[in-house]
Amino acid sequence: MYGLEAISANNGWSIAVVGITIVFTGLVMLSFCISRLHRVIDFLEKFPDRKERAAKKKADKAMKKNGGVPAFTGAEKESAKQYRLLARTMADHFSLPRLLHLAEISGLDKPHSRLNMLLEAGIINPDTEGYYTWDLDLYRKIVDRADKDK
Amino acid sequence: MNGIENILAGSVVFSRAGAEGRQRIASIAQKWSVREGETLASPGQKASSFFLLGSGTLMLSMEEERALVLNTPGDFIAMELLSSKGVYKTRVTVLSGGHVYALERDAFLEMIREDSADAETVMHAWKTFLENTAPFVKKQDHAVTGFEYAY
Repeated sequence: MYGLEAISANNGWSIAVVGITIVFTGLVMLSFCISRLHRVIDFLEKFPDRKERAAKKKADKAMKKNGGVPAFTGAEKESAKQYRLLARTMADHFSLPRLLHLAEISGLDKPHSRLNMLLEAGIINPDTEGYYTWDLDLYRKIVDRADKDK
Repeated sequence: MNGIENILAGSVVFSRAGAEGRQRIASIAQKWSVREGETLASPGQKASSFFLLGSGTLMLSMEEERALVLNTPGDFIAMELLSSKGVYKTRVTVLSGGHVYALERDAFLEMIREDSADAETVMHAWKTFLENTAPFVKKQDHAVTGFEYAY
């Protein structure tokens, strides 16, 4: 028995139809996944931004709760105090890279992000010549307030 | 619109350039994720890239121990701020992590040197940005020295 007769006798047509259906369904699913891929990439790309926004929202909320003054955690307050000690050894208008260098060699915890925290809080402010000043009133307000809250 | 197009559209330096000009800028940019404490450029290194801030905070350490802190998406770290004669003169340190777009220096200077409205708009916006954010930085007169030599 050969040819079409043999195919019919051994369920060849049904097997072929099942095979075609499986391959076709697989291809449809694959093309669907590829067509949605840009959404997955978009989501992954925007994920860090969402994280940042959430962190900012949290900080804003804490600041509002603290009467418009940034709220520092215990460790942040400690870093602020250590930075203050270092800044006191410098001129009123001091160099920010030098302050960071001093913080690094003194072994301060997370010197870069903690310096950024002081800048964002407004404790360290730029002048017009590329040097920086320390707002002692704001520093006292933030650190003293945190002390009282303890 | 993808990430860099949004950043360029909101950038003080690039927002007034046409859509086509911004697209050309986007085509020479590479997205880099940056971490706290990382150094993106050091004085004396060959200046291969300019940087467009996507997110995070960067500190630019300049001559005479001056510094500039940039944290607004779209801030541009380039030309007088960053390099001279094809060599970095500024150290760029990451204070808080995020991402930057590294723009190929040569390709960017090639674009900006063209006799086009977009090039003129970007250069004008750049001068204004520089005056507002870093008035202490010495301006380069590229009309005398040429772009390649000046930056």
